[in-house]
Order: sequence, then structure tokens, then C-alpha cells
Amino acid sequence: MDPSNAIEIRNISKSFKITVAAGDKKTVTGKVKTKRVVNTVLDDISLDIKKGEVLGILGRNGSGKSTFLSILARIMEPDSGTIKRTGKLAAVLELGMGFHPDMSGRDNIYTKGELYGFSKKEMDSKIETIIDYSGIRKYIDNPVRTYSSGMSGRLAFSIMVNVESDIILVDEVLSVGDAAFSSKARQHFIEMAESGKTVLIVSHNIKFMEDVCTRAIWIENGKIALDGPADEVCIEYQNKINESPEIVYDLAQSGVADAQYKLAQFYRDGNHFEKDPDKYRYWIESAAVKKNVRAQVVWGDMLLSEGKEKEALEFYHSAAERGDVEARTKVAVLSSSKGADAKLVSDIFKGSYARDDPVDEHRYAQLLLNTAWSDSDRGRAFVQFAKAADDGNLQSMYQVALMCRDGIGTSRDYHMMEGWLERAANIGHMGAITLLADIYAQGRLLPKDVHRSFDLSLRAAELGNRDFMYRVAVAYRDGNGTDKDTEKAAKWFSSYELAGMYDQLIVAERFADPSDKDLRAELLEKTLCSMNPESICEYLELTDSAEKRDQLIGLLRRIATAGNTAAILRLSEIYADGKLVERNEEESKGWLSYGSKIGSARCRDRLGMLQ
Amino acid sequence: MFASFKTELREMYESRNVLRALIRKDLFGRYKNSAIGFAWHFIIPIVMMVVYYVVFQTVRANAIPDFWVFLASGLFPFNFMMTNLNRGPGMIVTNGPMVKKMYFPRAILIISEVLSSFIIMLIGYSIILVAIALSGYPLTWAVLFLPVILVLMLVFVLGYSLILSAITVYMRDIQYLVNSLSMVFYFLTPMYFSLSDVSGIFGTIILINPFTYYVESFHQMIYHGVLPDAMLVGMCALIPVLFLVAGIIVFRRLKRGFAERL
Repeated sequence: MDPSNAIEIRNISKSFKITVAAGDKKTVTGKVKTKRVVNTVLDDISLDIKKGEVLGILGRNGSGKSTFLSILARIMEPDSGTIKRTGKLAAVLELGMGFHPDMSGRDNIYTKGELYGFSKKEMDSKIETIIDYSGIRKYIDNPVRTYSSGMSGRLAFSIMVNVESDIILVDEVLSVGDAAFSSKARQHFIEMAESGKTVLIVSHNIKFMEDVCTRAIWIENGKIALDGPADEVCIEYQNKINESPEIVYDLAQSGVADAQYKLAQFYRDGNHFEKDPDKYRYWIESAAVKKNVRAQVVWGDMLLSEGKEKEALEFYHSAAERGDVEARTKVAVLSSSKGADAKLVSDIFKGSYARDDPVDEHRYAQLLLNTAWSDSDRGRAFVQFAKAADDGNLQSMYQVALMCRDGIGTSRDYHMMEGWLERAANIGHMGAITLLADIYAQGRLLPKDVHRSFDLSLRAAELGNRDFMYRVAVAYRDGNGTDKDTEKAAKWFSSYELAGMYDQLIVAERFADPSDKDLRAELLEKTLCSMNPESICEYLELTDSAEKRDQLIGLLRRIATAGNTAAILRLSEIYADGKLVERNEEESKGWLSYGSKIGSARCRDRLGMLQ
Repeated sequence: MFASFKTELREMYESRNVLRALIRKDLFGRYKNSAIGFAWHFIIPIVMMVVYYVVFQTVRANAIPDFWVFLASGLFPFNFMMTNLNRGPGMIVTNGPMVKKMYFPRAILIISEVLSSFIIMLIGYSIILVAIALSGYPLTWAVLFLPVILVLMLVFVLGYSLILSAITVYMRDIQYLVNSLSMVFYFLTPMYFSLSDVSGIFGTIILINPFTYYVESFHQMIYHGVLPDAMLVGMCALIPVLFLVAGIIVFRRLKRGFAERL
């Protein structure tokens, strides 16, 4: 025997004779005729279990895992094959067993210890540890019959884990005790394994197995179906259990909502079963009535498509109450039923919303935020915004920065806020530029930095923000964040004034004599500091000078690059029709795709029309 | 075959703690819930003895002189044998949960039950012997031979308990069959009458009954004050050997299926 092995199992098989009904015939006495058949429970199993391993044994009811454990514990003998073990073995296949109800907990510890094969003297040295571990010292001298089932379970478990065995077999006993005790037990198993003992666990609690076991085997039809690291085997097993059509069907028939939903999916996809829309519908309805959240949403959708809005809303409501985001969105939209995002919602309904499209991502995020009921919903919205921002959506970048600043859906993170604001400001998002400028100027959220604040203000002013024109002018005048420059100060003061008169200038231009080109050009020239794409374009059409035209196109490109959608659309038009500049379709499409990348729905739609 | 029997014996020795625990549970657990507890093991035989003394000293319904001594000398060992005859078939079956959930040499269950009832019997028997001595009844040195017969009887009881307990797992009817048979043994054993008073076919049947030899030996040693004759001692020694060997063979053969049959 390999010295590193605790147990060596070679070719063990075990079968039982069982009695089954033989047809419907009845004997004279009225009993159903029966016949004996051989049921092979374990079929030629070989396995090495190493010292220090915590081995989990998985399998469905009747798969043979309890028989396997019984054979390891020597309670049953295999029909053939051999088992070698090293060291002392303690089997706990049932906790409460071996307690005498009339004897005290303390006496029972001794008795039970002796049942495990320890002398009274050995138990004397352990009794205090056991009592402490069980956590029922107060009651230890009362008769066991006065204990609750949880208490006797804990006592039994404490004895089992504290007697010194080299191999411990545990069968489905972790349901005893409360959560605290259970995690204590979990810890204990891990420590035992570390000290070189071997633990074998049978449990249906897959989560527990995944946490505790180092290795797992999965027994199916009397054979080891899978053997490997516990997490891998547990996941495989879980998948199998979830996907196995027979299991799902059985569970669905017995009214388990989750299984009904799964079965409905099988019928929908023609998975394991033949496609059957009626059965799909039937099981979805059953699952929805049984309050499976996903099924409620799907069933609501089905009702909605049949025009039964009221019934649908009821199911959405029920799902929304239990936290389904989609249901909440739908409830919100159906309840208001007029939102601008109705189309997007219907797209989401149909599942056609493009997950990688920054525009839709942003709008979806917006919708999530608007319909958020709880912090976790806001968190979800934040994640969605961050995704859109990562994909280049300007609005999302700004939104993410704001959420970081205010701690909505995430924790307050000024550093992250700064990063996103900078990114948005670099592209040219006016909100981001001005906010960041303010923040640097105030020095409250981030360290004060007048130079950066000035640079940003200048950027905002150049992009036509009137308030910042004034600020820049004042900064030049006072030398705040930049060198004193009275000339530039004067220029920005006049821009500020002109920008304030933008509306009047435009009106004046409209009313001017259309043939008086010089007057019109002069008026339009004065509007340029406001960086309004409309007036720039008007000026473009008016002017004859190629030089002026280049300058105006340059301005347009600047604000388009900064993310001004109107400018982008205008530029794309200008390049597409080729009247003012040389026709260049590539350039035109380029601007549209830039626009859709930073999140303009109109650019995206127009680009879609072109393609 | 013998090698594996040897390991089984060693294992049994290693499981002596289990045996101790089971016996203690049986002896001390029995009256645990009562006020005086273990004392009941003494009180019950005393009460029995008083009843026999009063009834048979005053009523004198039997021709045998000092009938209460005659009766008491055989009654306690006989009750011990009958108790185990009645309980024997159920020793594995009633411990089903334990057999199915724990490993230990199965025979320990039988040994512990037989031993604990033996201890209880010894307590009562000693009390009655002291009482007989105190009453002035002439006891002789033959009494010193008692332990030999008691131990042989213990082995005999162990033998048939092994057989009955193992078979009952497979055929539950055994339990009820034996229970009804044990009634018959009350009349086929010379408990209330002297063996010398019986003759004919009834006498032959009584001599086939193995319990007869033990009860008769106790009568000889206590009531008659003589050592049992060679024939009695021979039978008392032969019977346990036969039953123990048969018991071990049957039990070892059948124990494989205990857990799955229960």
C-alpha cells in the first residue's frame, strides 16, 4: 500500500436484490405479484484517497454514494474487491445515534467516545474540549432527552470531530446547528485536513462541498463519473443537475418553479425535447404563477404581445418586487407609458438592443438609473454607464464622473472622477470641462490648481461658453493662472459681450437686406465667438473668400471634434454634397462614425441609413 | 479462514471500549430515569425472594421440602437463559440503526447484551445465596463449584444468542417462534419438580432439553449440597462448545448482510 494513501479501494462492486412489482397481475390473496431483480449499486470502483484530503462525494439520490460510504465505513461488505485503510476510522453516518436519552450529555460523551473505540481515560482528556466545542456547556449535565434536535446534533458533531481518528466519514450531517456552528465545522474540517487527517463528506449542499473539499468524486450509476479538484467537479455536477432533462422534468412535474422555467426553455429551444410552443407556453405560465422571476417577465412579455397589458403588468410587478431589473424597467415604462425611451424599451423587450453600441448602452444605463429602486439598482446603472464610457460615450463619461463624485451606485472616488472628467474634457465635453475647471479653482474635491483651471476655462471659452469667456478675460486681467495680458483680456471681454448679443446679432442678420453681403458678413463675424455651428454654416454659405471658408471649416472641425453633434452633422453634410468644399464621402462618413462613437444617436442613425 | 478469524478476534479485543460502553449503557441506562436507579437491580430479586419464601414456606403446595431453596437455586440461572432466548433473536434487529450507521464487530452487540443480563443475574443470585445461607439452610463446599457451571452456561447462552440474532435478520418469524417456544421450556425444565420424579417419554424429552443440565447442576450444588455428577458436568461442558462453534460459524456467515437487510 502506498504510504501516502489513507484508503485504497480496488475494484469494489456491490449489488442488491430488490423486489419489484411484476406487471399488474394479482395473486389469489390480492397482492400484486412481485419478482426479485438484481440492482447493481457500485460497479467496479477503484480509488486512492490520499492522507490530508477532504474528499467530497457527489451524486443523486440512489446513485450509490451512501452505499459507497457504508462500505468504506465497513458497515457493509462489498460483493467483490478490496479496501485497505490506514489508521483509525470514525464514521458519522447519523449524528443522534448512540445517545441514551436518559443519560446526561456528559455521560453520553463518554459512552459515545467508547463507541468510537476510545477508553474512558482517553475521553477524560478530551471532554472539556468537546463540551466547549459544542457550545452547550450550560446544559451538559441535563439528560439528552431534554435537548433540542439542534443541540444533540451539535453535541454529536463535537464528539465526532474531536476524537482522534485518522479518517472521518461524514454523511449529510451539516444541516445540524445554526449558521455559526456550520461555519465552525467547516473550519474544523479544513484544519483537520491540514494536520494530515482524511475527511470524506457526503452532502447535497454543493456550496459547502465546494468550500471545504480539496477533491471531489461524482458517482453516477455505480461508477465514478468524474474525479478531480472539488470546485471543478462541483461546477460540472451542478451543471449536470441543472441541465439533466429527466431531473428537470421530474422537478417541474412536482411543481418546482425554477425547473418549470428550465423545462419551458427546453421546449422552446428543442433541447432534449421536441420543440413545442404550446408546452413552452404551458410551462412558462406554470413557472410564472409559481413565482419564478424570469418566467414572470417572459410570461408578461407574452401577455403584452397579446395586448393583455394589465395582466402583464401584474406579473412584471411581482417580478419587480423581487428585484428583477428588467421587470422594474418595464413596470416603470408601462406605468408611465409615454417616455421618450419607449422604443429602446421595446428593443430591450425584443432583446435586440445592441450590447456593444455606446449609444444604446448609455440610454439603457440612463433607464436603469431612472427606474432604480435601490442602491444595488443604482450600482447596476453605474456599471452600465462605466461600460458605455469605456466604449467612448461622452455623456456616459460625464455621468460616471458625477456618480463618482456623489457616490451614487459606487463609492465616492474623486481620483476616478478626475480621470473620467479629464477624458471627457479632452474630447471636448462642455460639462466636463467647466466642472473640472470649477473643481480645480475651488480646490475642495481635488488640490487647487489655478493653471489647469485656467487652461480648461480657456478651452470652454474657445468652444463658445460665455460665462467662461468672462472668466478668462478676468484671469488675463488679474494674471490669475496665467500671465497678465490686457490685450487678450480686452479681446475676451468683447467676445463675452458679443456672445451675450448672439440672439440679437442673428436676428439682425435675418432682417438685413439679403443682397448686402458685407453687412451680413460683418454681423455673422461677430457671432463667431459663440461657436454656434448654425451661424458658422450660414457664414460659410455667404462668404466667397476661400481663405475665410478654410477658417470657418477649421472652426467647425474644432467644435465637431469637441463633440458638438450639430457641428459633426453639418460637417458630414458639407463633405457629402460637395458644394462648399471638395466632395469627400470618406470624410463625411468619418465624421458620422466619430459622432456615433462618442454617443450621438442621430449620427448613428444617419450612418446606418448611408450603409 | 482462520487468519481472518484471528484478525476478527483481535479487532474484537480492540473494540473492548465499545463493549464496555454498551454494557454500561445497558446497566446504568436502564433505571436512569428512576429515583433510586441502579438499586433496582438489587431490589427486584429481594422482592422476588421474599415472595417465594412467603408463598412456598406457608402454602407448602409441593412435596419437596424447603421448596423455596430448591426453586431459587435454579430460577435465577434459568431466567437468565430464558431472557436471552427471548431477547436473542432481536439483538441485531432492534439495534438496526446502530448497525446501519456505525462500524464495530457485530458480535459485540450480542456479547454486551448477554454479559449485562449475566451481571444482573449474578447480583440477584448472590443475594439469594446469601439469604439461603442466612436462613440456616445447610450449604456445603459444593457451592464453590458454581462459577464453573455459571461460566459454561454463559458460553452456551452466548452461542445460541449468536445463532438466533443472526438468523432473525433474514427471517423475522424466528423471533415469534422462539418466543412461543420459550413457554414450553418452563415446563420441560425441572424447575418446579425434581428430575428423579419424572419418567417415561416426558423424562426423555426433558433430557433432550439442554437447559435441564444446568438447572439440575444448580440443584445439586445448592439444594443437595453435592457436586454434580460426571454426566451433568460433561453435558454442561459439551453443550456450550457445540453451540458456540455453531454460533460463530452461523454469525460469521450471515453478518455480511446485516446492514443491507435491516
